[in-house]
Amino acid sequence: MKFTIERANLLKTLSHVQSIVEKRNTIPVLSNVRIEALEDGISFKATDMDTEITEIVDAKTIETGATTAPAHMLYDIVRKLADGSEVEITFPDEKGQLTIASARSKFSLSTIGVEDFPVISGDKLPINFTMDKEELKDVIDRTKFAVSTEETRYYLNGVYMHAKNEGEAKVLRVVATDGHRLACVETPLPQGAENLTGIIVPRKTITEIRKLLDDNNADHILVSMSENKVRFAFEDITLTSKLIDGTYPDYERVIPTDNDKNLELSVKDLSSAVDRVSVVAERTRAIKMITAPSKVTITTSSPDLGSAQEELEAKYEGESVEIGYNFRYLLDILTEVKGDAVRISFADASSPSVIHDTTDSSAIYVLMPMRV
Amino acid sequence: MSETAEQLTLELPHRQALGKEDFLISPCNEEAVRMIDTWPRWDFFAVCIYGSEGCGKTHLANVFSNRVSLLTNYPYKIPCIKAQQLKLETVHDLFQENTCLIVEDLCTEIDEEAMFHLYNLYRNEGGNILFTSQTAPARLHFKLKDLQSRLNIVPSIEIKAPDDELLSSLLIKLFMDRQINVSPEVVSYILNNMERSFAYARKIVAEIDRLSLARKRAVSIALVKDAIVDLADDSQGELF
Repeated sequence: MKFTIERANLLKTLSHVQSIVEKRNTIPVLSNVRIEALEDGISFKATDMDTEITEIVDAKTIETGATTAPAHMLYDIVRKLADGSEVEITFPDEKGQLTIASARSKFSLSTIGVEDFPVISGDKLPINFTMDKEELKDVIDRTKFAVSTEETRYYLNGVYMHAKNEGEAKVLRVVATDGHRLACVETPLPQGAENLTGIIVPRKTITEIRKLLDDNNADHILVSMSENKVRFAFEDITLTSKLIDGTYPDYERVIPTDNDKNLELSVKDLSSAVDRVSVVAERTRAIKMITAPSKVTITTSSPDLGSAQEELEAKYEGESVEIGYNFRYLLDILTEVKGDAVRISFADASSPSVIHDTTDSSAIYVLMPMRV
Repeated sequence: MSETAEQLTLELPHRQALGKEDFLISPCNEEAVRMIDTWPRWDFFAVCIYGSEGCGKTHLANVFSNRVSLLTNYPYKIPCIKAQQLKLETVHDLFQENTCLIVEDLCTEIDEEAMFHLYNLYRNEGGNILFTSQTAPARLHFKLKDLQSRLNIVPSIEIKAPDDELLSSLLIKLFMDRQINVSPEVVSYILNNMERSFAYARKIVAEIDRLSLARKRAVSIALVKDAIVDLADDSQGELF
């Protein structure tokens, strides 16, 4: 195997594939990237046994062939090569290793044969649909922050996607929760996704796909799914992932429909006020909102650090309520509200609050209060 | 504002595994299981399974319901009604629509006349009833003497207090129902420090689940200790 490739193209591809490779592996070949020189390009493949990425990149193939080499080391080497340079990769060299040569630099890396490299893709996945890139980015951004990072509840370590008949309209629902807050976003159901009964896409896959969406020119992404796998295909990149084998909770039961107190206020004003008050709330993360007709007061206090108070104009009618929130959760949600105003609906200080953009009904956020 | 602000959690529902293969059989409940397995060859038209809260009566009733559907090619589950909800005006329709019926919680306050008519209809016209209760029917005190005398003769099988082997399996099942992975050390610790009852097993698993979700922490022995203290605090009465 021998080929020459522009350093910038190689670096970009390696940055994608090395991201899948875990830093520590008990199976040595999983630390490697599979490199195959084809007649019409070079294929790079990496896997952690749950996720697999394949990227085809343009290069000048001198001799076809394949091997695997340490992904992170290869990436670090290429990252340090001179910008704009050409890189020549050869396997095997006179010592049976992989050689990376560029200008006056030359590196030799140990390899492992491709026959040991596991492949998890290859199955035909029965559900296929195309999604607009911006739409996919949007649903990921508006839900990803609520995905649980705690491994005990493995079934919450991903986003839940399913088709839903919402009155006349059919929608694709994307949901994430960590048990403290929940994000539920809808987008028109893509043609072909009608039979999507519910899958949990792992957090790592969502993170990787989100990075790829920023780094790719494709306008549409082909999404394929089965009961246990999902695949996202761009022009030159394919990411295949196992799904989380668990039952997602009946999340609709925790979205209140009868919260009778509505507070409406500017997203910008609320974000800024919460952000300022939070300086004193770093330890407990708790802030308190006190509602009153046409205004809301945000406070926090700590015996060691001091206290803070902000008063904001708001649309509110009804009795005064004091309700505590984790300021980080509130800011996470407010970051994803694109409109000018937000509505916070609640029943009391210990029941779930519902937050949504006053001009956009496609997303609902549920936030559990803090007892303060 | 308190220094120990507590994050409240969403009450995410979980599904209990209520199939026959999910029921944990041990000497304390094998007689009740045998009774369910012998339907429709019951000696009497009705049977009562009784035992303390959380001992698996509802689970067994579900197993019974599945068995009836399977053996009679009935496409739906047979109804499971709470004894408290039984009304005189619905008794006849219930009998017309169902040859088998599950009546749960016989030990609660009931419309005795409705229950008397239900009993007579199924007994005289042909049909089966599975009763569940926390107390044996013969030890319940009904005002209607005719109902008392009838229920006194219903074969009643007790689900007794659980042994350690069953409690250990039950804890694992309850965690599995909530899709929570726990280590054998944690199960062993709970087993060594818990009240020997089905109800406590359910309470402690629910409290561990709540605490671990609120704190975003894995289920460790330290977290279990806190959950045990929380339950003890909850059961402690207050002077003032």
